[in-house]
Amino acid sequence: MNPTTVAVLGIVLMFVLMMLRVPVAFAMLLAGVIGNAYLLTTGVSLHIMATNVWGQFASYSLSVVPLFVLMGQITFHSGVTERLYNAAHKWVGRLPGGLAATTILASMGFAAICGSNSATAATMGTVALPEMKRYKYDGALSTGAVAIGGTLGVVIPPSVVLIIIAVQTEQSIVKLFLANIIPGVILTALLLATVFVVAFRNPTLGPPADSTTWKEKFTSLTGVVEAIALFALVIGGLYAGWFTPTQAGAAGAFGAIIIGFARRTLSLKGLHLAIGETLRTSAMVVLLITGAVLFGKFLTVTRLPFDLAEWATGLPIPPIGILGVVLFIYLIGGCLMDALGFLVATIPIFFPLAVALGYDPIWFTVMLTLVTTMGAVTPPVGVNVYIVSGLVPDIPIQTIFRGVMVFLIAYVIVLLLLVVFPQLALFLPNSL
Amino acid sequence: MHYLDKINEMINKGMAVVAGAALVCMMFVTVLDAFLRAFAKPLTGTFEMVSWLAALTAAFSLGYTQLHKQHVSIDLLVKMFGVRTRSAIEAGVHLVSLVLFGAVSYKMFIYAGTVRASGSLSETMKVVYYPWVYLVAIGCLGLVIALVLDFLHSLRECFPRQTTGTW
Repeated sequence: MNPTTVAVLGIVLMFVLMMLRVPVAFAMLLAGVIGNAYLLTTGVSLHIMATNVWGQFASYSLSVVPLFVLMGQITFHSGVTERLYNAAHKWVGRLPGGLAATTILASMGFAAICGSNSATAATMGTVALPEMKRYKYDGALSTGAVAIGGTLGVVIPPSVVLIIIAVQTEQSIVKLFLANIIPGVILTALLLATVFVVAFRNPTLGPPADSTTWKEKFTSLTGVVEAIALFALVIGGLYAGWFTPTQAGAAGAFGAIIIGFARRTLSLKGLHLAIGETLRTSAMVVLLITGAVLFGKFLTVTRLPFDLAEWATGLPIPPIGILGVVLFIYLIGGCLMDALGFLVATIPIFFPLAVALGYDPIWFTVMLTLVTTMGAVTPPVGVNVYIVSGLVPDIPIQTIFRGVMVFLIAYVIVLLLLVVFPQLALFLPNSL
Repeated sequence: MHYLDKINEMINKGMAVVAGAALVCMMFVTVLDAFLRAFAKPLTGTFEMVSWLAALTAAFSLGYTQLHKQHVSIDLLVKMFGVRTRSAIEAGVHLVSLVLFGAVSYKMFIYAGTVRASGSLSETMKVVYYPWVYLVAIGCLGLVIALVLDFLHSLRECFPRQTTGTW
């Protein structure tokens, strides 16, 4: 059997295992071990596996994962969400659709200190949904805003997904964080615009909340200070070159603990829960990367990624067409299965292709992040939608998916803007 | 079975406590190093110490993560099947997984032994690091224990004990 056939069979085996509900990380490890055993020897394959497990688990660059997850979890258990929501509520709540806009703004604020998609949707949902229900918001608009707001957790740095891609593709975490800032802000602005257009066309969907005084508005801003301080410490520290990503994560987590205890918003129970959740997420992520790296090594032995890149660059199709097909595959993949799992499993195949086509790796990563993030809100496997559905069991899941659809226009516009103006992603990292 | 579940929980939750302590240590060591670096006196060996603590954090959380079923998986296809078929597939998945991680753990112990025999020292602190490799092997063993219990539970669901009727 030639190596390309072995590679294709390896990929098929990996996806079959995943479809049988073998955890994604296990499926990648197993397919990688079996593939390497076939191409090399069983002994060599098992030795590669052991050294790879040690190499990834004891990798300094991966130590950034638990520290950033811890920072997000500490802020989550410190009630930052409520204070961010309260501040945004005071400023834009009285506009038509204002509470949905509040949700998006507060999600952006939380995303700036927490790198998780599902944590952002879950925390924001518990605060925002009862409030929108109180003001008789349309179910599709309210749940759609929470689910789509959660996706900002991945797009806006610090983001665990960006860290994973950076480690897997050996790119600079700092540059990827910076690259996502402008697209993330544009996306937030477009999501806000979507809310206001929807509410302007039909004001009954998002009735205005009670008006607030200027004093209330400015007082509410004290709740935003800690989020801004943490974001400035972490991202500012990275940009200024004070911290490595691991140090930034540690400083962010330490800062969040200090702020939480100083404000008496973090209890020992909260700290205990935050550490427990951090351990589970970190183990899951580190094992995913370990599996992906081993599977990537197997593919490298078969030379499939290079052959694929060579074949694709020789096609009489412009690179943008091939890129479109690749992004479409990610969109469909993100719809059908867990977006993170699909991303990690396929990066070894498609990343070398994008680089061979002449695309900037940082720009491609930003595009990839946006496309796969859409998978978190698209049927049938939309993680955020399921989280929101769990919070409001009385609203049918189809209604939530319907509510999300209108917001996806914003995602498409940002993707198109990035194609036309790649500098939107490249300006900040290139300024380092 | 109940007794075995208790042992599984005790082992993996105990390991999670160690992992949590390693996580907190990692945070403090890194912050201290960043602070001292500002005064041009960084902690020697922080890079290595943080890497080893990160390894301990992840490895000792593997079984704990399995207890909470938090290793990402896709149930798109399997949820379409009936309970018995689903349990049979799950039993197969757990069996394959435990064989895989049994092999990972075994090879990690062998690898740790090789590192120990070679007398390899770390680059900066010049200390032996094979104990950390052993700890990662033990962490994988924690996952194997959790998977064995999951396998037994799936088998039980697949072949439920008859509570009524006679042969």
